Amino acid sequence: MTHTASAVTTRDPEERAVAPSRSSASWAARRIGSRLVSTLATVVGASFAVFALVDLAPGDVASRIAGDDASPETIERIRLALGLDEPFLERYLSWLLNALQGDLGTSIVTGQEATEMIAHAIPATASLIVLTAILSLILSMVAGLLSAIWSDAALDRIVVTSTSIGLAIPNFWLGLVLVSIFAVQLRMFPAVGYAPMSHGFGTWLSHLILPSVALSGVLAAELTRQLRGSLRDTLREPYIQTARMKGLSNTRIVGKHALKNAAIPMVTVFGVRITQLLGGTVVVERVFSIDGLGNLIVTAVQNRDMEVVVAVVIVFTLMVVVANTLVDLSYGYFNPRVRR
Amino acid sequence: MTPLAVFVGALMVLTACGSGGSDAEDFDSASVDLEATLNVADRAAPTSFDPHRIRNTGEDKHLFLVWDRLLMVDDLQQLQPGLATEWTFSADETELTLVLRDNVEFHDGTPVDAASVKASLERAMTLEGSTVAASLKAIVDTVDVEADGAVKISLKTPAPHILQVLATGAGAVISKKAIDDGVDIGTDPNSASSGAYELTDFVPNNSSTLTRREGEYWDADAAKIKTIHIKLFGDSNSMMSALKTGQVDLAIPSIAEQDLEAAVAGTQIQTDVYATAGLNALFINPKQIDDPRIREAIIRGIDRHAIATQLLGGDDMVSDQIDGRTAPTFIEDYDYPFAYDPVRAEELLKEAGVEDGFTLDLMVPAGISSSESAALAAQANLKEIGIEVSIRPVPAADGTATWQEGQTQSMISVIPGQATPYLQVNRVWKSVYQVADPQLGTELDEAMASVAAAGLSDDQRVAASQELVSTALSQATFVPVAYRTGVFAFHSKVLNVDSMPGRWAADSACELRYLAVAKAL
Repeated sequence: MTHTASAVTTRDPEERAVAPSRSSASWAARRIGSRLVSTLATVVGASFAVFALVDLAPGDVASRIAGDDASPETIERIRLALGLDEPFLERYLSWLLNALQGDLGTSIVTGQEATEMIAHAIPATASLIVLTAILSLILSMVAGLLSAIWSDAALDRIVVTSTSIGLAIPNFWLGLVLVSIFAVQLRMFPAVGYAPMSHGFGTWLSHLILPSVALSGVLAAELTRQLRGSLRDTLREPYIQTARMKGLSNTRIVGKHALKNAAIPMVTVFGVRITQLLGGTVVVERVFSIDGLGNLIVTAVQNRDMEVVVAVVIVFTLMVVVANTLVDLSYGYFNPRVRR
Repeated sequence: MTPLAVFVGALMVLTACGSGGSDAEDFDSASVDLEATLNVADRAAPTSFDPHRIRNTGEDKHLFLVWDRLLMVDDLQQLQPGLATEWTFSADETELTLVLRDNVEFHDGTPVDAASVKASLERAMTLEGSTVAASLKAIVDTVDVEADGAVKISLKTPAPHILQVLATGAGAVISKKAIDDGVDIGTDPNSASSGAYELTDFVPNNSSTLTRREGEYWDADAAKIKTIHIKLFGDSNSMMSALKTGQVDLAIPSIAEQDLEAAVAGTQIQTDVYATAGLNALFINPKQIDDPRIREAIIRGIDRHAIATQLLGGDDMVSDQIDGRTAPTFIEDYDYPFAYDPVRAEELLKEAGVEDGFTLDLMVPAGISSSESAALAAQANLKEIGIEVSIRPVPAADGTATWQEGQTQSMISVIPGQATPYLQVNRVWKSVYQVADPQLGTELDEAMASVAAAGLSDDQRVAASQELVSTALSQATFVPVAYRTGVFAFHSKVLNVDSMPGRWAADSACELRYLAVAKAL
């Protein structure tokens, strides 16, 4: 009997999972539903906070529109025309009402619809983030796996040292170094700009390689550390020892049994780091002169272009929520017990 | 006929045969690539192509490729004909008659005529959000059509500087048909303009692509490049990287000279670093510091020449007056009244009853390194005479508006050069920064009136302008610290960079109309 009990407790958690009490689809729907409610609250909260912060910041948009030679009277006239003399709450509620109907407002500076400006900027940022995520995942999977499997080898020490360096290097600095070497010296990639996919996959990729590498440094290092740590722990689990005793190959043990369980902390970190990744685009897009959301929000903040700032923040918020929802849902795949 | 009219007449004779204002064609035309594309990395980008809504001089390089103006100012600050080929003041100089260039059409097919000039000037003065309305409304009374090719501008008072005003966006001529039809020229300026280029792609606050129009253009020296793409860069390092990789042909970075040299070391990239007529300057608010002795003490306590030579670019950047060195009104032997003299500064503080010192509020636009450096140096200087300087950074774009609130004691900031001292004094002392000391009476107003007076010869007007500069600076409210450095970095194939019109005004200001690209060897 003791032997039986032991066998149960050392089985792969996936194998231990009994049939979920509700279907996977129903579980996912509930998770998404609860996320939607919290998303709405988050977006409203974020928009209010950003509105307030931009409003409290010194300076105003009227002086930027009026130009260098504007008299105080001209600036005041523009301020009144823009309704900037109205109370903060009144302006915010008016914006919120429009936003709830899908109208994120118009740039006070350029006169363009905020949604139009975002639509123009989002492909570059989305491409950058997706490529950065893919690059980070590939790098961290390879480095984390090798490091965990050969944990006493020199390779492990190299990986650990590399991740320390990766975590310490600011992405803007890495970006400048990459440009200097691979764009200016070796002429392998463009130094600046973004080319849409319609210009060809190669052109699109060549413009994104350097900024993605610059942006993926910290993320890849963090993910590698997480994967290395959790995989090492997992590989010491009794059910892995059992699998070894059963004569399963190393590839099967790691690939089918260990990696799936060890990936959970890594996925969690990935979800958390998405926020930092979006923050990183603000700097990296500046360094590489990419017309994405990061550059858009910097210019909008400089111009006190309230509608555009809030609109971009909302898009960033939604991106984080979507990413975290996907991470949440992925738990169900990695560990079926959470679906119960 | 007044002496000025004689001078103008002589100028007209000189320019009558000229197609435009360029003295810039210093290249062999056969070696120019007329099909070239020029990529420019810039620090300014317009939000609109409406010439009556230009926000700063950095936007000129975009808009003036599309819009022709009545007059132009060349690289030596001399007036040149534009769509107006002749200009004559009446005897009392309250009327200006402009004769328009023959056979020029807008791209909507209507002629460039007096009716369009009248409609354009009236639009400039009345358009909601016009950034040129104030400068025109201050001097223009009415605009009348004299004939199809002549327009008469009646002035409120004699105002010879209107010629320079008409060389800005205020003098851009828009098709009357487009104005009447309510065309949105801010985003679609092509049909309403007569310029050498059309706007083929525009992302507000980001980039413009301009393509040369087919057919003959009235200014034969202009439009030697087929396509000009101007892109806003938020970072000068990116700009220089793009230049080095060939993604950009001409860059206008905000970068110190030594950093520029390091950036282009070992490359074929050429640089042009020069003193503009723009100024790094100290502003002292006379309403906050109303005792002229204290203001003088502050000025005498700051070693401005050391700041200019050691921190802001060297001996060439030293400035004691408001004109650039290429200006006709520049005073060669000017004796600035408040030279660095800390001993005298302490005496003045004692006379003013503040021998124990005080704390001076000094506002600085954040991110403008020349202003920040000058402010730190001034802080150290003034500490030696007992004045504690409290430096208050504000976002650069908010500097002027914050100053206009009137609560700031002093500011170190940058201003662009103006085409005449009158315009600069009007801008700094009167309309924008308003540093004229009301307690000093009408002396400044009288000096301004002297410059604008009717019946002056050209030499007399220059002398009056120089007197105006002396009078204005003697108020000890605006203090030139150093000229602003202009920087261009470019590939050797780009021709005429050193003679671009407008480049004297500020470090990011210039017109690209006379640039050319050399054919590849």
